[in-house]
Amino acid sequence: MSIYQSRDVKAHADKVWFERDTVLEKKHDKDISILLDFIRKLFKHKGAVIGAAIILVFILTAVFAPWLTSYDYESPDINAMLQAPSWEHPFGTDEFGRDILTRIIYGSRISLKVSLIAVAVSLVIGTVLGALAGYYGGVVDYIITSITDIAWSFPTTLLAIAFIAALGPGLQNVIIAIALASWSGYCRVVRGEVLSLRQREFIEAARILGMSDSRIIFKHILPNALTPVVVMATLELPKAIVIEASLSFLGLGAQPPLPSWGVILDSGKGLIGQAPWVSFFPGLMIMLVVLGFNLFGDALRDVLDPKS
Amino acid sequence: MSLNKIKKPLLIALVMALLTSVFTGCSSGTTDSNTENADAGAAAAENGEKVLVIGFDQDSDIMDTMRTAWYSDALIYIHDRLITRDYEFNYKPGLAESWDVSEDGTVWTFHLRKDVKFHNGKPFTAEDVKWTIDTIKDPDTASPFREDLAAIKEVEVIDDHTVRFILEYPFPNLLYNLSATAAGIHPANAYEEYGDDYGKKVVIGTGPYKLEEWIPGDKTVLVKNEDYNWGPEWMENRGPALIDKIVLKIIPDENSRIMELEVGGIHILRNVPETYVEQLDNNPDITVHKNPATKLGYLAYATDKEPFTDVRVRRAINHALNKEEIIQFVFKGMGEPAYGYLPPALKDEYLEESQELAYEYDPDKAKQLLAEAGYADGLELTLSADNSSKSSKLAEIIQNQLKEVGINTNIQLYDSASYTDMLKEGKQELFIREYSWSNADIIDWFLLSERFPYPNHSRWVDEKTDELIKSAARQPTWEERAEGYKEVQRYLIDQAVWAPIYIPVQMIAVRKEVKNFKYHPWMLQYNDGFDIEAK
Amino acid sequence: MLKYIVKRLILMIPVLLLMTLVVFSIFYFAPGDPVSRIAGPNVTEEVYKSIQKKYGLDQPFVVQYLRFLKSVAEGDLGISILQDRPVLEMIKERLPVTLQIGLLGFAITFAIAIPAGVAAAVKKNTAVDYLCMTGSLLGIAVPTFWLGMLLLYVFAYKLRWFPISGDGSFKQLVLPGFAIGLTNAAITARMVRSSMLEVLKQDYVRTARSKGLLEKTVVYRHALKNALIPVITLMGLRLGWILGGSVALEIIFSIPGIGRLMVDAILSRDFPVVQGSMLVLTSSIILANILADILYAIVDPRIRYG
Repeated sequence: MSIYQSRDVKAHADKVWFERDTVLEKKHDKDISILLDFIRKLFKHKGAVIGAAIILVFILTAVFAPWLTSYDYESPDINAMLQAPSWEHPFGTDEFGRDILTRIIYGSRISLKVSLIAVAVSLVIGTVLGALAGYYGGVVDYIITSITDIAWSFPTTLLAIAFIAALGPGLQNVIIAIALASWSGYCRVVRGEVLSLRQREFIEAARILGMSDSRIIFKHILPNALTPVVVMATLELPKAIVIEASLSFLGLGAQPPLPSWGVILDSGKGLIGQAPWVSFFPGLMIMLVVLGFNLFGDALRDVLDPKS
Repeated sequence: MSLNKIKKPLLIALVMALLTSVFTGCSSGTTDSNTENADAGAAAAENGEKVLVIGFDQDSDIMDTMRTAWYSDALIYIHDRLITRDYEFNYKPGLAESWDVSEDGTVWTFHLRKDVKFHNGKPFTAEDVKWTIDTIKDPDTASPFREDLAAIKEVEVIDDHTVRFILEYPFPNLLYNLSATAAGIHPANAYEEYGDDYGKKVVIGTGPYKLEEWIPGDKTVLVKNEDYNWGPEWMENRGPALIDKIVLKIIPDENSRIMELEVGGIHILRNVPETYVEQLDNNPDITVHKNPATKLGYLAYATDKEPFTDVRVRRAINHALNKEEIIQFVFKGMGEPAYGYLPPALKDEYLEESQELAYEYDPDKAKQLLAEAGYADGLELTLSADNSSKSSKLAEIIQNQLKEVGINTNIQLYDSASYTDMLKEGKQELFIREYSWSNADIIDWFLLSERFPYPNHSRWVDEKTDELIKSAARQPTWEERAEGYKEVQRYLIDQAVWAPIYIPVQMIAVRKEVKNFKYHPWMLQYNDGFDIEAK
Repeated sequence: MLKYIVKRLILMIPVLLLMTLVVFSIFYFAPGDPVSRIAGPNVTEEVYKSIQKKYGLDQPFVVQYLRFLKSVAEGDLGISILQDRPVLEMIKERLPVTLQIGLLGFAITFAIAIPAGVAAAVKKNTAVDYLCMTGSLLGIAVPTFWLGMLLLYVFAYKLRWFPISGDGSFKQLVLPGFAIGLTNAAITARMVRSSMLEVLKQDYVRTARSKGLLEKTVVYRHALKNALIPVITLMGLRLGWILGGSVALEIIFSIPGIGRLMVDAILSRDFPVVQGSMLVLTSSIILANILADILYAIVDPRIRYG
């Protein structure tokens, strides 16, 4: 299923008996050639290129936000309230006379932050739990799997709302809430991978050689389960953005004046008749970025999964 | 069974259908009512009934004035009260035809109407008044209204139609408390008689409308009380209402409420957000009635914490706020700047000279005061608010204005349950509040030291304030009381305990189908000649 | 098989217990309590405490939790603090309408996703495929609540084909059903496509073809049947998503369903309601998964459970 597993793991495993350390180096060399091959394939994939381009623009926008606009994202301007899109304000202005393009540009920072951190945290939680469940099996597995099943089948937004109720407001808590509500997917994937890896010879070998459990998990099992997790994370990034937007829609998202896309969209939902641009553009941006991540994530899966 | 021949989507449908039937099967009653009541929405009443539909954002939890402060507007029309307030906001007879107050203000005798019947057919008597008041005052009821009636020592039934209230101390505000929605009169022993259903399926009053049906979270249907002919003297129509049914429909999303009003699905919408007023004003089918609200929005601060212990800082904050600009941005210019601690709609207690005494917008003076207080380099503070769209807009503008004078703030928005909790725990620094209350006793609630830490959330503990408030509240007459509260306000303005910001406009949107609409500053009186075309 | 079902049902119990404990702890330690809504802004500390006492909120953690378990055992899933009535009764009022939306959403999902997915797979790498898959990518990218807002604005407000707020009729379900169905269809269509592609490569399909069966018969009778197996599991798991995922839609379309019940309860801290509805939702999700597994075994005789 993963790159390593399909081609090299067998050979790799045989060597563990003799040269544990050199193998790691050799594997590293191989990693590079595999990586190059992988990048080549990715570049041939249309979806990947379009997706990557969207993501790149998004990231660059977030990084260079202050250089991209001359307006301020938080100071109101009483003379420019609710102006329709024009040369001066390509996306129009909001109820406070602030340039919406500017707010969207700065908002990309928040979206990027929310998605990256939430995904990173949930990835860590999910991976650790999944590895524990898969590796130890038995009661540990049963408990973790049960919790995961519930968390996975339960609507993420509702869970996140409950966590925000407990944690209190603020962007930081929103991120934690999203992370706490969305780790279950990783857990399932990692557990599955670990279960299949656990029985392989090279793990058996490592165990016989007296490696500690944690070393086996971190050095030998997790790296091999990495690929599906990476694909999954790419597809989870946009979900975090959408969840943040849904939370903002319910008034529980980022705190103003932080112009998260959800906050801008929410501020425009009542203006749909008078000033549709206030909610249209942030909605469009969310769509675009989600599209970009999905295209890229799908491509990643196509390229990494030898089956297709 | 050869399932193989069945299409798989059918299987899933089967599973879903099974689940649906599991849940609906054991609750056939409710599903029936779901479909049956398809007509109770706006397009109701094909049989020539006159139905008025009013839009609301949230439902109450329980239909009982005695057990919650979060009551439904339906209860305004289900119950009558001893005292009413007319269109000019004067206190007038209600279920009590007249009343006398003893010289010292501690004995109130009410003479009750003799022609009144409850919805269940029982005649209304002094026993019902006593039972209602006693139940509210009983600690086991745990009524949130109990404290409002704390001045009442005892209720004595003199005869069937005379009841006497003995007070602990003079308390002219009893007029207000007995005219409030929470003081609606229930039939004696309602709890024993109706048990668990009371406040859920059944609620009995003497009002112009009866409860027909309540589906929590969805709608309340009221049907007119044909026997009603005891409307207060100031009403044009003292008999039964002209409108047959009132539907209180819950529409949680603001935008959907406005759209529903525009397409005619609801006829009346209260608390229209300013954002939509222009749009509705341009709609020939809709009139937006704009009147000053009995509300006041203010910026408060924890006065027991640095730097707010220093009156110079408090005054500086007052000087830093440009109220006109705030009203322009947040309310599209609809609203009045607030200077005192009570809204002008409370005409008796409002302090006319508030504006002269208060602090004008002057950022330089604010900076100077801050410098004098030792904060020349500025301040870093948190600014808390609830997460409604209005409060978050307010927070943003206030944040900007404070920045001008060197106060940098960090906005924190809370959902309403956490907001209360946060204020209780005293974590606040700067915070935004709006009260909606049509009585001067709001000052008691928020600023007496015995109300610390909650609801005295500005944490104002001050002997002189206590003295002034208590002497005002316990004057024997209403006029003396009003005078006393003016004195309290002068002192509060001087001490800059809050930074009052705005008096919002009460906006009620009414569709053209509604005839003879009359604005009432407190509770709309739908039974007073309101009419609507039958469909 | 029966043994397997019984085992799974028994294993549900500790899982559900654990979940209620977690939910209860979250709310026990979360800021705010339901009393602030009952009490309103103007009450004294003393009155506030008396209300807390009346509803047993002054009791220690263990006592409150055990009381909840007791009422679950008695079958009423706890008593709502704010509405002062059994949670089960409230759920019974609210769940049907949410399920109806979900059912309609599923119907729309299948009506769109199966033809689109099959067409895309059969005509792989043609304009049809690209059209379906681009549509599906866009569909996934649209936030459901945003789609709901647009549908409401266009079809209910501008065109007036549907009611704006829930009126109890079938019509009220159409727009939210579509909002759910479209997003879900986008995901499902991709799944159908890839699953179809997989199946079309299999030997038995080739055999069927070589037997000279009509292409249509091959695709619909043989390939689709098998391609739908993974899709069924996905649907079983998405039941939860549909039940709770319609929260924003229930708000936008003013439909008093279970999603709104839960959000209101979370925000007003009416934790018995949250616990009770979570319990019902999770058990139905687990049950749905078990049912999906059983169907799986019936549909595909190769699968056997021990």
